[in-house]
Amino acid sequence: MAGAKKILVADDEQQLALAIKIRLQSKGYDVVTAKDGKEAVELALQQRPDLVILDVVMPVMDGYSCLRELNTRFGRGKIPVIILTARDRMKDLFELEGIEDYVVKPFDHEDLLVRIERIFKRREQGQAPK
Amino acid sequence: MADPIAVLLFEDDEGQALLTKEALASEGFVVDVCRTGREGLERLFTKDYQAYLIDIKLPDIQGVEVLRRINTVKPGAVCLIVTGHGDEVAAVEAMKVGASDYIVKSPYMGHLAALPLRVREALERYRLRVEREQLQTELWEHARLLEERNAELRRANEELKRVDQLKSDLVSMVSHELRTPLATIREFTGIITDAIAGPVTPQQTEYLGIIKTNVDRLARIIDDLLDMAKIESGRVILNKGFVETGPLIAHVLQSLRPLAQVKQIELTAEVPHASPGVFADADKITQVLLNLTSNAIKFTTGPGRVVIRVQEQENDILVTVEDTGIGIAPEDLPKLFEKFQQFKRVPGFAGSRGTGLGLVISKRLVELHGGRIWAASEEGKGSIFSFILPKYHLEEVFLEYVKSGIEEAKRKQGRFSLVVFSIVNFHELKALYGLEESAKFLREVEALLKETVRRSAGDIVIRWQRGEMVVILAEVDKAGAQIIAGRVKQAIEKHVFQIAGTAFSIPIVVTAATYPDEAMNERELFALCENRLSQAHVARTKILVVDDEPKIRRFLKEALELRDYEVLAAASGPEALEQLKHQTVDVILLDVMMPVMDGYEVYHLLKEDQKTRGVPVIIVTAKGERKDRQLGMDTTHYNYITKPFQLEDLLAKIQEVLKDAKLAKS
Repeated sequence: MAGAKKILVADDEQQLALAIKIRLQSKGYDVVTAKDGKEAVELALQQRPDLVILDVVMPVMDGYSCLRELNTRFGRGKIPVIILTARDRMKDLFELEGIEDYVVKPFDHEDLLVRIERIFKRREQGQAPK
Repeated sequence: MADPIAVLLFEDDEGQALLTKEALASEGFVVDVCRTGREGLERLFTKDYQAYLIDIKLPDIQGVEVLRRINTVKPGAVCLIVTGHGDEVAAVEAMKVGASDYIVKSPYMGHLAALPLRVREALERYRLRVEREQLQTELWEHARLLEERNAELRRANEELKRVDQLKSDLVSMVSHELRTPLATIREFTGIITDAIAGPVTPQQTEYLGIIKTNVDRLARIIDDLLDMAKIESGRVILNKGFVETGPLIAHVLQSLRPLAQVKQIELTAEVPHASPGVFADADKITQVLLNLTSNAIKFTTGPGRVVIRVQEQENDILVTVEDTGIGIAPEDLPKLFEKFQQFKRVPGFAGSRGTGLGLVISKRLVELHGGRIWAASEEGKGSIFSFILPKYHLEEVFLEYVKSGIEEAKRKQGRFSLVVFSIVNFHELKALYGLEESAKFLREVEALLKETVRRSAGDIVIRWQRGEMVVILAEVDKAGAQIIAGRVKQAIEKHVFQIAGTAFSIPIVVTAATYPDEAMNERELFALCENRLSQAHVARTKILVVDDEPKIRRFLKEALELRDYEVLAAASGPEALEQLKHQTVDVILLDVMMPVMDGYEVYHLLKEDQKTRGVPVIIVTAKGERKDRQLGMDTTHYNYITKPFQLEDLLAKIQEVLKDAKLAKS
């Protein structure tokens, strides 16, 4: 879909990633999924997503390292990142690296959608990333 | 009578031998005599001799040699050397070889009187030595056993830690493994229900709803079990902070309102206007309240009421959840907070079965906070569940902040400082303007501080203690702390504050303490600051300088502040009086020659006002002026100093005046 925002979802739980994908697609987003941090970085380089949803715990390369890698490759904060974390205290760690937002698992898909929309709106209005 | 002590006597002189033998025999000894060294040595093992008396001069072998040989075959044997008068050197020699003692023969055998005692003493010494060696050996044996036990304990400990870690890993792994499939089920059920995978019939929606309900139930059970596992193994870390009960309860009400509405239950809260704050983990307390309130709703059939109340008590905060439900049977009441208890099965409560852990978890969580939980109920009428939590104490939170600051510094091998300010006349302000105005004023100070300090150091937290102290925590060393202190003192003392419409400038006292240079933990750090502050307070005498000439005011202020006085200045009588409305001073320096209102007039007014009457005043007059001009009746009791004056004289005068004032008071 032209003009549609592209979202990269990285989560080692493939089925959950699929569920998120279905939800996001139903809202008109273009979605690609990755099953670990390494794949996420590769896909990001290939596809240039407008937003990344990143699970914290992943094999091969975990969320934190993946985030750093993305920052290095694209520049800090260039692509907004929302992390999926099990505990809300983990977000502190990630905020240092510049995440845009976070949701705590188990999360409400509506909540996630709202946050995604908010990020895109902010970017559109030319506001600097948080 | 104890067994006689066997002694072997080496003595060649027959007469002496006999006398010695007799002297000892009568004292519980049995003595065998040998005339030569060789003879004695041969007899060594014929009897179990306990002591040996050896004459130093024997016909064949030297007494010392005999001694040596005896020691060789019987190490540690008790030998006493008998020497002739004047033979001390040999005697000492003998001691070196291992004699227990030496006896000097006196010319008329007087030494024999003390001999039995000496022998006994020597034997006693030997006995004690042996005993000591035995005890020593026992001690070493015990120490060895102890070390073995310790090693065992250490191993057991390691094992326990390992198992504990395994359990912890198991819990988190299970948690993840159980929750993930549930999440997947829930997500896809939702996707279908929301018609994303195609249109859904009402019946399908209904069935999917049932699936979702059960998924939620499973999720709750898993949560409960994991909570329980965590609590039991002490793995719950409370994230305590200031929690306002009002918003927390509002959140609980909001979450449960749909549930209550369905059953036509009125769900309300009674919270005081200024909702009390507790020092607690917001999530955990919310969990407890949700548990209690949902129970209340669950066990209230049909229309009824559930009320959540918060009350501030003397030492804690009391929260109660009251319902008009079915109540709890008296036999169930004592077991309420125990594991896996189910409430009495009541018809119409099919969906009410839980894990039986909800209340237990609530109890543990409340207790982890240092609180208590209990219940009262009347079957058929309703129940009331109550728990208390400790009140929010700023001090505790503050200490936690400082503690973590120190920890951080320890980790980074850096420094951590407390910079403490005290607003000198805060108490007076509070008394004059009341709590609300002074609180507003404090917020202004805090804002000013935050602005100033943010420009300098890194990690800053500002808080109040007892209202008059401001503390800044900073990752700086001593020098850095001093810089911050200086900067903020300047900023605050320059700023003009407003209280109740009056302009103010406030003097402050500042001090700092640094970890680890000056203190090793949070309590030490704070105590040090408090100490220094109170010293600073005590030392400073407050002087109000009233003079219309700015140069004089500035000069006096600087000169006096250098000598550790606290100086306030006013440019005129009216200004001085205005200032004195809001604070007290210890001495007033009053210039006579001022426009608008001269010194004498001011003086009168000061003496008339009860508040300022007792403050000593030093009048500054000009040369040649008559001192008693227009002073009226009170000519005897005033202090004055004539311009131009030497600073030293002024200082002396101030001291004098203060001393008099002190005497007058006592």
